Amino acid sequence: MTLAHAPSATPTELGGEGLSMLSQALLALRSTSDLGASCAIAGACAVRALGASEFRVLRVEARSGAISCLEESGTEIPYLAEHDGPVQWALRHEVAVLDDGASGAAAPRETLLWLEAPLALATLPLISGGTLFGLLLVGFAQPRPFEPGERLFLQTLSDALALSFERSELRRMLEEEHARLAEAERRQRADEEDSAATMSMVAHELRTPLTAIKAYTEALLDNLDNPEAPRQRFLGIVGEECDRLTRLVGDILELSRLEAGQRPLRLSRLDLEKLIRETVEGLQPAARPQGISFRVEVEPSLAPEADPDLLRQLLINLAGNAVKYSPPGGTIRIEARRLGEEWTASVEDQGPGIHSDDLPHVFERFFRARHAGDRAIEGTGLGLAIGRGIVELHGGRIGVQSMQPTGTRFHFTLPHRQLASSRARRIARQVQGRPDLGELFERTVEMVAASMNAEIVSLMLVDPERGDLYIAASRGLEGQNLEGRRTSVRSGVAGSVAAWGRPLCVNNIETDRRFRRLNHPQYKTKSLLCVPLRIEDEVLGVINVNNKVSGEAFDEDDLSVLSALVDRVGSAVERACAYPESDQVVSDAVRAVRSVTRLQQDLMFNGHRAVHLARATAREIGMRDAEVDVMGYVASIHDLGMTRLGPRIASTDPLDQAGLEELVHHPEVSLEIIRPLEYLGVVRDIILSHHERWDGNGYPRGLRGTEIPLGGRILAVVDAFASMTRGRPYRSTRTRAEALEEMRQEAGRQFDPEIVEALARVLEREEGRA
Amino acid sequence: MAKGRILVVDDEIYIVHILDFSLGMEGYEVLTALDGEQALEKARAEHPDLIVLDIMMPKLDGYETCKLLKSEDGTRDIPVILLSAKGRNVDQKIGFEVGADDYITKPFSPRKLVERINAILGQTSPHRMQA
Repeated sequence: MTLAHAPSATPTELGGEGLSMLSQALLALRSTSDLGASCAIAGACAVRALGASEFRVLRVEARSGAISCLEESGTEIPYLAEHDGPVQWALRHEVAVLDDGASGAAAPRETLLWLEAPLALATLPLISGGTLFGLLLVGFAQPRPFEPGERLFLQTLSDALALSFERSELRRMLEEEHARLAEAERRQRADEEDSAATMSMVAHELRTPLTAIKAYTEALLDNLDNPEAPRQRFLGIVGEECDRLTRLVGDILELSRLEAGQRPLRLSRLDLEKLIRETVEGLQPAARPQGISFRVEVEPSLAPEADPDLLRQLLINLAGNAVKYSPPGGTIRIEARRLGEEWTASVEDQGPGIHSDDLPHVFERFFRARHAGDRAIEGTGLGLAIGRGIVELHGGRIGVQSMQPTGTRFHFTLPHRQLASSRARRIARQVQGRPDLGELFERTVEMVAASMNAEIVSLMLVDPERGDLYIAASRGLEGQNLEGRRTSVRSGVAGSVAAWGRPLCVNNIETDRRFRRLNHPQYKTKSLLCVPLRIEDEVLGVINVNNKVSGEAFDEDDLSVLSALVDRVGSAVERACAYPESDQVVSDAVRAVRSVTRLQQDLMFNGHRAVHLARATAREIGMRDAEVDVMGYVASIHDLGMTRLGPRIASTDPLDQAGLEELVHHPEVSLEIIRPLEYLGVVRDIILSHHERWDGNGYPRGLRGTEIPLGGRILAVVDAFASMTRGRPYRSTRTRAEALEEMRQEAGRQFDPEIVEALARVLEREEGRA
Repeated sequence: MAKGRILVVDDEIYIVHILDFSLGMEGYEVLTALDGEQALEKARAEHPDLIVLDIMMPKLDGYETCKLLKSEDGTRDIPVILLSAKGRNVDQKIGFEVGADDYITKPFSPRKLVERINAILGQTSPHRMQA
């Protein structure tokens, strides 16, 4: 191939006609905002002015380095650049490649792009503002030299086209930003309207009793000497309305605390039958004069875990409603029974029932169903909204139905168990007795934040006294009331992870059917991770991860690495409890955790990508799920030894002799650092062998072929590929295709050939999908 | 002989009671209704001299009731004073648009309400006449 230096054998001056075409093309480029049209204008201009046969425009995706050919119709067709062809050359060096055809018809000229392979080819990178957007290729049917005027012409034309690309890119980014802002504004407006509507409702509800108080007080004052004024009755009404106001304010506060998640659950085991009977007894003064009776049926020995104060209030609200709507002499049925892992209760009256249009709204604040028009029915309009809040806080659900021929039935279902087992509480007490573990938990939260690239991380532990979960360490929740963030070991995301002991990845909390409604405004992203912290096979807590810094969703790769890291912390805690006399165990673990944090913060620029490729390649080779998880985890921490090299590793200066020594020994150093956390021999094996070579010339042990553990061979391939394609793939480093090609050449020497091919299949599938 | 007959409409029974008392002390005869539908029936049947009408009520709210009263020949000429916990300008505007003659916000002073009613009906207070 002849590069941009061909001496022009027969210089052909670009005439005034060429220049006028150029100026017309530039004018046209300036006035269109359509990228397809811009490409057509620039290409046609080059073809006509230089007598070329065809042109092509390639677009290069900035992040992946993927190349596609832009068709005139606007569609893009993926294109794989020829090995060592002009496209690869132009991308790598960001210079124009002018091939005059002197090297003959067989020279690489991106044959697949053309109907008829050109015999001379100009390949021009489209660069603007330091970014490469694509390439303009102009093909000629005959070999031809490019004289200086023509080079200037092509340069000017491609620069103008690059500007069009940049404009189009900026416009796209602007549109995205606009859409994002509009969405944020829309949400905020909806929130504001919602709270304004609530405020206006609250104001109305408060004014009603105030109106009566003011009117009666004034009437009393105006009639101090009037014997006709029923002063005692008026004072009684003022007193009643004051009580009503007090109840209303109390209910509003109660509801807002429930809704803001500020009311912690105080859980204990309840004697449900006793609680229901006490509730009924409290309502007798209102029921008995009306001849209303209760029928209570509670399954024997039903003793669920719940907050007794809240549950009593829930029952009072439901049964109190039933009393209000019951006809004189009516019967109210209250039932409770077991339902598998849950229990369910219902309150049924023989009142007028609720209009079917109103049924869906009865749990809304201040909603009064249509049969409630009669002023004889007292109430704040908040009782059922509070009831729903109480049920949801316990991780349950509440519903209502109208009965035939008359009556209303409210029912709710709650998890039977809300508290940690007594064994878990015993271990929790032991953990709490070790103050040095507090430091380990703080450092763990830091490590998780760095590894998952997350803004908010919290570690919740079982409270040995209360049996629920509390926040023991956190990041990103500064200045918030964490006492209110307690949760049962059943309800919500953290509770269900604690209950089932399985890690959880929620893609979108607002649409997730399991946990919708539980999102909190502080979570900017809708995706979250939650994994259990196990000690001696008991779930002792959970780690919650929210707000990925990049704004993207967490995925299964993140979840797998997080689980592996948290498992290691769990085993360190377990050892600490087993050796209560030794503080060495914990301080070693703290040091290892700190190293992982530093590794993630300073050195893992491409950590997520490496983890993903390691897992995908391991799966491709046929590893089992557990082994795949190990591979992902090792890929994220195998370079721990590099943290000892400090900033030197990130600089471009060559390492000195000592540095090189350390570099060669970093697998062993990594091993030494992770040892306090690591209990799997296979992990240590993989870390130690990932710089071995297939041909036996690697380090530190000089193993050969299949002597090298499979995991080490996989990591060697993935590690090399990830570092070759790091950063901007088309530029300082290599494109994916180039990197893969290079690795194929090393297959059988540095790498296990089978694994290189497995990686190739993984990449091919992913590019096909992209 | 009563000074006039006034229909008081509110779903809050205590408000109805105190207006009944205050207006009764003033020498008016008071009719009462607890919602918009009852109010329409009584207005048609009894043709009171003035209506005090709450806005936020179940079934038929004050605005709708007022609109209907002002659209019927038999009740169009009865003055209406709207009474509501809503105090924003936009609500007052709607009140006048539906044809209300006056507008008083809760919490209100019964004494002021009486003065407004007196003004509309061209009456003066018997207390003041004595004074």
